[in-house]
Amino acid sequence: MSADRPDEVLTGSLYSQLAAPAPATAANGETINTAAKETVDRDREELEEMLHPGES
Amino acid sequence: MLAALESRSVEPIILDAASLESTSYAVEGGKLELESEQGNRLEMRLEAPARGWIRRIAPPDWRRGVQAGTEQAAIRSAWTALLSAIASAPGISWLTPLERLFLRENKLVQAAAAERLGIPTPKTVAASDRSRIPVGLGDQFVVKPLGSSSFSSSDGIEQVVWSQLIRHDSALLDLLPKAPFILQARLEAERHLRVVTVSEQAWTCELPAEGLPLDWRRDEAAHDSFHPISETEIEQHALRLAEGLGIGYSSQDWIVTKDGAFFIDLNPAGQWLFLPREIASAVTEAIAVWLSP
Repeated sequence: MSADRPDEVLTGSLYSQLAAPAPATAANGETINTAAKETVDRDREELEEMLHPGES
Repeated sequence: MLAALESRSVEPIILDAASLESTSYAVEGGKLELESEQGNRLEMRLEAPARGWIRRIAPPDWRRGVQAGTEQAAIRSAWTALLSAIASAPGISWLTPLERLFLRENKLVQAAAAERLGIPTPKTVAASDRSRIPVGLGDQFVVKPLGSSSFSSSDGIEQVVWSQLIRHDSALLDLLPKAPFILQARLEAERHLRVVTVSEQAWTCELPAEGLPLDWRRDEAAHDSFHPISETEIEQHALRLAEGLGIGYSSQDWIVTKDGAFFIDLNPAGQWLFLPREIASAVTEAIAVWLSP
């Protein structure tokens, strides 16, 4: 898998350029695929608030 | 986990930001009082010795998408501050303390720690523009997010940013100034490993790389294709790294090439239940043992 697009003029950020829709979630609401569910990633905003309240 | 704790006659107190919202509570000085919707009452002295494990701060969708600076953001902040105050109880020893859970999730921090400890890891950089990318990364290298690997798009669809290969002359690198990303030397993977560490124990599972995308997580079937394997030397490295980072639990990704094994990155609260049952059970049991008095 390569993300190369050498001739394009791109906008946005690498986030918007490299993102793809997340895998489906299971019936219990848990995401099956590990990519979208690694917990700290998911909780990053909450953790940042806990460590630096009111700065976001 | 609850079953594992129950079998050891441990009655855990389970809290997250969402559950606090539906709990009657009072925090005063060194005392916490809780009463659930079912009427279960609990009183806890915060200086009393206890052990704790942080699985997650809140359910994934809890108050998600709140705009910064709004009343809703302030309310969310208040709930997390309350949870933070409880988590800071002087008597609680955490498997991984809250602040490390966040700070050690940083892939640049992890790469620097691995390098410092002499643990093989691919060259890893963050650079503001193409001209600052070291030649040593090669003509093609891996790009992966330094920040969160998922976000909601403007239409509300959940997006994942996978690790991907990119060429040094790719126009995508013109976007580096917009957001810092990790750039990592490409490894020719023969096997992927997931190494899970709990305190001083480690377990390894392997996944043959043949036929898989660069980021094996893109392949749903790959999650069920890991096999337990003994990799003593790698596990020793993994434990040294976890100790060096000060984290009691870690879920680590390694890649084995013809030249040896390389640490890729870790998650201090990563998943393990998708691994083969015997490994998943052993990890769960080890956490339960650590939590038991």
